[in-house]
Amino acid sequence: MAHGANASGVVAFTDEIVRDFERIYREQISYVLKILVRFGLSRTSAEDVAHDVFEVFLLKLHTLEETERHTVASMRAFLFRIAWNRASNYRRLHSVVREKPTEFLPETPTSDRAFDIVLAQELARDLAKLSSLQTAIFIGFEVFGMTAPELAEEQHIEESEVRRILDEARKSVRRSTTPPGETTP
Amino acid sequence: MTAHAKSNLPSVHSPVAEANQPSLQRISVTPLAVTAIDLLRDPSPDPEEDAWVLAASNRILAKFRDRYGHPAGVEDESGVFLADQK
Repeated sequence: MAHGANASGVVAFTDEIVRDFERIYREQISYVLKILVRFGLSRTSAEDVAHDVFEVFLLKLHTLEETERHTVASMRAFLFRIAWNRASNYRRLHSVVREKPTEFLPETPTSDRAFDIVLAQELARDLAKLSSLQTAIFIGFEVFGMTAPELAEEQHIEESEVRRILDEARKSVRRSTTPPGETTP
Repeated sequence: MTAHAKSNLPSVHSPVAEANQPSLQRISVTPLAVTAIDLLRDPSPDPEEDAWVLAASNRILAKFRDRYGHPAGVEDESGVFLADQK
């Protein structure tokens, strides 16, 4: 079923999009809330930003292929990047309005969180370089512990192709996964 | 990969999974190079934080339903869900 905005700016969500949205929301909301706290937001702010993240996600969901919407690895990377961008925007805005009276404490990241934020920035940049197939294979293997045969079956490609794509993806994300002090090849 | 399939996957550090992949070492098991990848993993369970996550997720979903109807849109006569794009 078609999806898109008409001349009056009204967006139509198909039944399929709505079902996928609810399923992915239930699978990923816990991750998104926790990663926003790890980015240094208070719980109150994380809740507001998580709402924004899923609103952006809902409006972009139709741009993804059906296979992508059913690949947890792809959804995780997609949401990570939206969450990082929204958290960055929030922090920038917060720094501008900091002098306004507020009932909440200023959000000052701990040193651990500051390190996470630097890493997240690098990782978000690196993930943006990957194609959807590279993302699915890289995150599936490295994050969700899938094996090459499992990934080959999921993506309907040969196992040798999985290994080749994984190698390419690793080169693209080399910077954010290289320990400090080591040089990238 | 569905959530069900994910739940059946071997752990990242599963000896069985690693034994099946002798030529592929995960970045996650390379010393020190774990932190960026770790940002993409589900954080460890924390009862106090999980209680907040559950309450927050229900509040956010309720906002979506308030704004877009049930579950995420207002159904028109053609069967599609409609929402104002701001």
